[in-house]
Amino acid sequence: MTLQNAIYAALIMCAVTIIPRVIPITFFTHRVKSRFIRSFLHYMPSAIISAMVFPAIFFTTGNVIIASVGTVVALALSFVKKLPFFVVAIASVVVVFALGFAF
Amino acid sequence: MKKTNDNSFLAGMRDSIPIAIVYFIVSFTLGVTIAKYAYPAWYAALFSATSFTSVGQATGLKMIAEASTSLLEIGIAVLIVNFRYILTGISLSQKLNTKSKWKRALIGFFITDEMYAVVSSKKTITFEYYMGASPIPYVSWVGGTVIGAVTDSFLPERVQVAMGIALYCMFIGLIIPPAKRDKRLFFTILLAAAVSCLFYFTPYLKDLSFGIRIVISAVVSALISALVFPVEYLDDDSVYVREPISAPLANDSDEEEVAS
Repeated sequence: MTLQNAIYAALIMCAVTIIPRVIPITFFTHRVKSRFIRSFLHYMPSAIISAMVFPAIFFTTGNVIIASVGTVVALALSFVKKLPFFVVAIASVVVVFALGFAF
Repeated sequence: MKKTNDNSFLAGMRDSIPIAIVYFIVSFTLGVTIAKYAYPAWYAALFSATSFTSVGQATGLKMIAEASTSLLEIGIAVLIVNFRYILTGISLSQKLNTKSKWKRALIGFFITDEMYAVVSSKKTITFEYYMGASPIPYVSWVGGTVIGAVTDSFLPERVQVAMGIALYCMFIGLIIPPAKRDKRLFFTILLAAAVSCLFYFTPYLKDLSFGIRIVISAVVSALISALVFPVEYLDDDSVYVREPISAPLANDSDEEEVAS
């Protein structure tokens, strides 16, 4: 794509990113009373992020085995060691980098 | 002692620094990709400053690199990837303590998956807190993209490949700690992962776009979780009666003692 079209693409992406981000939070102002919907919203963050991570994470490094090890490391560090998320991310990158030499 | 209830501007800034660190790594790889496609560094700045969304930008960039893609296709694909923000926005709208449309809209611009995960542990979110939390990750995101585009091949290929997993491992680091304190969230996490995998590998279902698959998987698993484990709360001030999920930040050890 030419640079000019790429600029148009960036502006279009800006619009289609801002619309779903800004409109619901701006105009949805009343409190949900329904216990069911409140529960639904309670589980939403974990559900969205988990759905984004799996199975995409296994295809992030071009090698499923290495990426799987990276995933296990991230799970182990956040579950057992209770490390903050940025440490988890960096540690997993280091492990994946090191494994890159083994394959 | 509960740092999670601190809703000041400075608390927002402090909580956002870990996000900014990972953003730098992730946006750096994005910038490297932009340079590989032979777009200039100022384009990298424009690209990240206007969108500020990891998954959406990665999707868009892949399509921009193809000479044959139409602008309409890019718009539709990125919009679909971003559908999940509708759910995020409705979810966050319940916790904002401001009715001002302008303030809510400004918060909306800075909604990201990572901020959503961090603030989802809070009972209420103030405008000041969110505005404190937004600038550092934003600057880090745009700056990382530009630096990645400028330095381009400065980093060895192996490092760049390894950095590809950073965003996803950060996501793991964001959702596991709250689930340790609220075990019901494990059910949601496992269910969402299973449904998402089902969509990814099943014939026909896998032809759906990434954004649609995410939205369906998230809605289905959150609905089932809500049916199986309804959450208790006080009607008037929306405080959870049973253990609320807490911040996935560095205050883990404090929280653990309270819980046990």
